[in-house]
Amino acid sequence: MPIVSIILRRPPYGDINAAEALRHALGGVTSGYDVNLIMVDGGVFTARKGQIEEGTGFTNLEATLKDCIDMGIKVYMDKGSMKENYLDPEMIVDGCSIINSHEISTIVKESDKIMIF
Amino acid sequence: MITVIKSSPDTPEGKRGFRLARDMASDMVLLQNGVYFAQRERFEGFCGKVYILEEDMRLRGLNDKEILKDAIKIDYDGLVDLMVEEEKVIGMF
Repeated sequence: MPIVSIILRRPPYGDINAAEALRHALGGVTSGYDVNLIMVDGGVFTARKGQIEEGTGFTNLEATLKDCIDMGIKVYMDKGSMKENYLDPEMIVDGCSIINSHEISTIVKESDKIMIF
Repeated sequence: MITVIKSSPDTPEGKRGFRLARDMASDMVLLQNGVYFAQRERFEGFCGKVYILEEDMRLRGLNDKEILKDAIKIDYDGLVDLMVEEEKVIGMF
């Protein structure tokens, strides 16, 4: 099965990148790919618990990320980016793996296709 | 004078706006991804007022415990009033 790694660098809601990264991840897994979703820099904010979209018209990306995890997408968080953005492990959605930059480079090296958002 | 920041802390624009506001001791308005700046650890030595757009804060899962204690939460109408009343508005970064 081909491996697709999606690297998300941008925080949610400010622009379309986070929503599109999650949409492509779901598309990949339903098309039979082995999908890794790697969050770095501001992208780590997408995994925050407690996102309240009521009255804003936005799609709640916390719920979408949980769907991704349920569908078997492997979600990885860059430990350095979490530290830089004052995110503690208990502040993020369950089911995400917190890894360092060396482990991220290994995952990317072993991937067939890479998409960056 | 207020400085309006809409970019996240990991962007050059956001960092530039935040540093400029701090150096000018200007009040600050945080909205969109700028609300991530409201995490209290980022505000050592800052003496101006900080306003944060509550809707954007809630959307991104930020809660009252982690943001700056003295941050003033405003709604969209409050933002418009601020921008009308202030004699100088700098932004948006």
